[in-house]
Amino acid sequence: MAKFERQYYNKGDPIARNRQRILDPNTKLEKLRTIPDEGFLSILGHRNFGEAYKSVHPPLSELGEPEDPMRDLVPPTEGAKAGDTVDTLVMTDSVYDSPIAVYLRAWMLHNRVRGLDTGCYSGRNTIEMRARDLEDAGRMLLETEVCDVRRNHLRQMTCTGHSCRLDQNGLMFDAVQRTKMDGTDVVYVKNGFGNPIDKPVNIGKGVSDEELKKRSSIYRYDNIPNLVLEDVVNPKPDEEVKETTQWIRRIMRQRLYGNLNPELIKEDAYENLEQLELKKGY
Amino acid sequence: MAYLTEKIDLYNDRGQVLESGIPLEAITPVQNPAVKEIADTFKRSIAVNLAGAQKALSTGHYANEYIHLPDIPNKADLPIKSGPYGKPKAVRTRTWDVPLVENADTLAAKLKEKLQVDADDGTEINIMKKGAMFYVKPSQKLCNAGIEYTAALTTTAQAMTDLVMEEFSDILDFHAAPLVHTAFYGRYPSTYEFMGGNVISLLAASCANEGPGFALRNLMVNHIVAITHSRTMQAMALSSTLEAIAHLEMGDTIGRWRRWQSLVYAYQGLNANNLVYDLVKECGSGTTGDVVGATINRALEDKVIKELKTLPSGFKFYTALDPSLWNAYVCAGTSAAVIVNQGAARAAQGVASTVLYFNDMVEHETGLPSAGYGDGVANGISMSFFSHSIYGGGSPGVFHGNHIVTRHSKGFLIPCVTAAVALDAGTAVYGPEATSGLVGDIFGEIKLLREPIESIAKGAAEIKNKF
Repeated sequence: MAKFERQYYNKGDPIARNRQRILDPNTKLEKLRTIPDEGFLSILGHRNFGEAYKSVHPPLSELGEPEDPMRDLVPPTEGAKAGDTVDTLVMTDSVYDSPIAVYLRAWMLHNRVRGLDTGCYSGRNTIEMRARDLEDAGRMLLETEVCDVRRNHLRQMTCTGHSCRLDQNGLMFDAVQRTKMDGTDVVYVKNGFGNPIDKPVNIGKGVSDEELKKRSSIYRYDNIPNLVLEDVVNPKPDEEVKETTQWIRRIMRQRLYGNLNPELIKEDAYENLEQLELKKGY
Repeated sequence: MAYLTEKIDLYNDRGQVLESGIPLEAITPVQNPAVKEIADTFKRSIAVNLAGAQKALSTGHYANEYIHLPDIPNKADLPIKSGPYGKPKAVRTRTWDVPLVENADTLAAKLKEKLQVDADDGTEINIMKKGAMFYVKPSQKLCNAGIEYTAALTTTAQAMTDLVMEEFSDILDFHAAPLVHTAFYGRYPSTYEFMGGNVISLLAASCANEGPGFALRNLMVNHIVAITHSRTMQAMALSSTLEAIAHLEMGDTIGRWRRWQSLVYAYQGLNANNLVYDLVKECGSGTTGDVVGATINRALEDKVIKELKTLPSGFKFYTALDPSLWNAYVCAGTSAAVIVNQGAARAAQGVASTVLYFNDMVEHETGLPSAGYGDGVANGISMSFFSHSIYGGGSPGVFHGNHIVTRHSKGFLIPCVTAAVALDAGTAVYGPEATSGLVGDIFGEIKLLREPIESIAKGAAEIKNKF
């Protein structure tokens, strides 16, 4: 039998296809920019350039791990081997056609990165990992196509307000004003924690608004293709994203019925699948 | 009555077969002799911290607390110990130097005499750590006479109080009795639990349980990790066994849920058909996402699920041929994902995240519900909140099944947390070393608890022909 191939997401509409592309670890994310080490570390705000990593316990080789077959099967990451502290990185995304959304980040990271702790809360995605692993993951999040410099920001705190509005030139609102526009480029003048940094870090130019709409991973009534092209309000927005809604509703229905009786998640329990009519006897 | 006759093979944590052709019925808590013995051991195991009691009596530091003074006007003039910022905070009460540890042998012999119901009734007293500790196991006759599980603790604590008052009557007078009581019982009856007591049971006081049947779920994950000496799958098996017994007590394993619950226990806890081991072996160097793929692949190979229909874009929905078995596969996959992701970080804190996103991705990959039919996602998200962020809480090690966010999982969440904590290399503030050193030292000596996979497989083999 052929090995199961993961699907990641449905491909029923352009937004779903964008999402699927980001989630699939076999897709190599396009690298858009390179941020110098010093600049990257000053934005992150955990350690200075050239400073050693802080550790929470001795390296594993000195510590000596207990005898355990599972430990033999799962090799530790570089950060874990060295006993690094667990550091935090918080990313936040605008709802205005950003190339990645908060919850999608968690899925993407669980598909692409080892040894992480991540969660989504109030418009932000927090990632906690061993320090040097976190820096690798952070580079992916800031340097590749999943980051548009105007719509996706690194904010270790005070994310609030990000989604409500855009500043001048399409820059995402920030209560602490960590970023500012310099011509067409975005410059970080404060680190993630809102402390001013000595040398502002220019992380380059964002993509155009048209390009952002194409790359968008957010379902909005104004970016489903027909609506944009025809410039009318679609009376049946569900039709555009039929596969996604069908898929989500099916899962919700099965959670509900399954907890009532495990046999109810079999399809043959239904007389009519669309209307969710159960057969007699169930 | 109908036995669960489907056959499973039980494997150890090295992926070697222990017993094959075991009927599912033989591992259920109602039948398996080893599981019954584990429950019995938890019910009857008591540790007496003799050195702790002696220290309490000699320093006046009873039940982890000095006696706090109320806020009275002339507090500063009282000749009492100063607290922080120069303000008097607490007072030490009367103290006595009672040589308990020196007389450990005599005390042990007399304690046995007090606890014994019949001669040779199985009462055990082991002196440990050069007399600093006793491991006490009162007889079954004594513990099973009532209908609750507290007799072991209360009789031992009361026996110790009596014994010390009798034995050291030349040092201790009539007025010392309440403080000797406090030295052993802790702050009970001022608190409803035995807070700070030096007679320690693995099980909490029954009034500390969230609801009926929670006794064996009210056991900190750190304790289980310490007992099994951080051996991941053994820890998971012990944790899963306790959950399985508790779910029986909670009324969750009856009717159509009996097989459902037994399958979760077999596949997730006891590594049935080597599922967890195989998944970890296949994806050890991979990510949570790889375990998602491997779990679904295995379910397809074993004909637990099948393809149902293909959407116009090519997306496929699956349907379960055996819904209960599918649930067990996802539970096993969840623990494998935790071992892979948290094992890579050698840090426990991400367990809730892995549980949440593994289950969510499985659902969205197949269109089938996840572990506990949605509970996996719900438990993951609520535990993320309670172990991180503004709600504080604690590191995963201090969680247990008797907790507002974990109690809804039907036996699959706490084993995952146990696996993560077992793999932690020392990142947690409240790790097993900090909270459960004593428990590990005493109960880790019992082979039945330290290596439950082997004991339960052996027990199942003994009775397999009955079904």
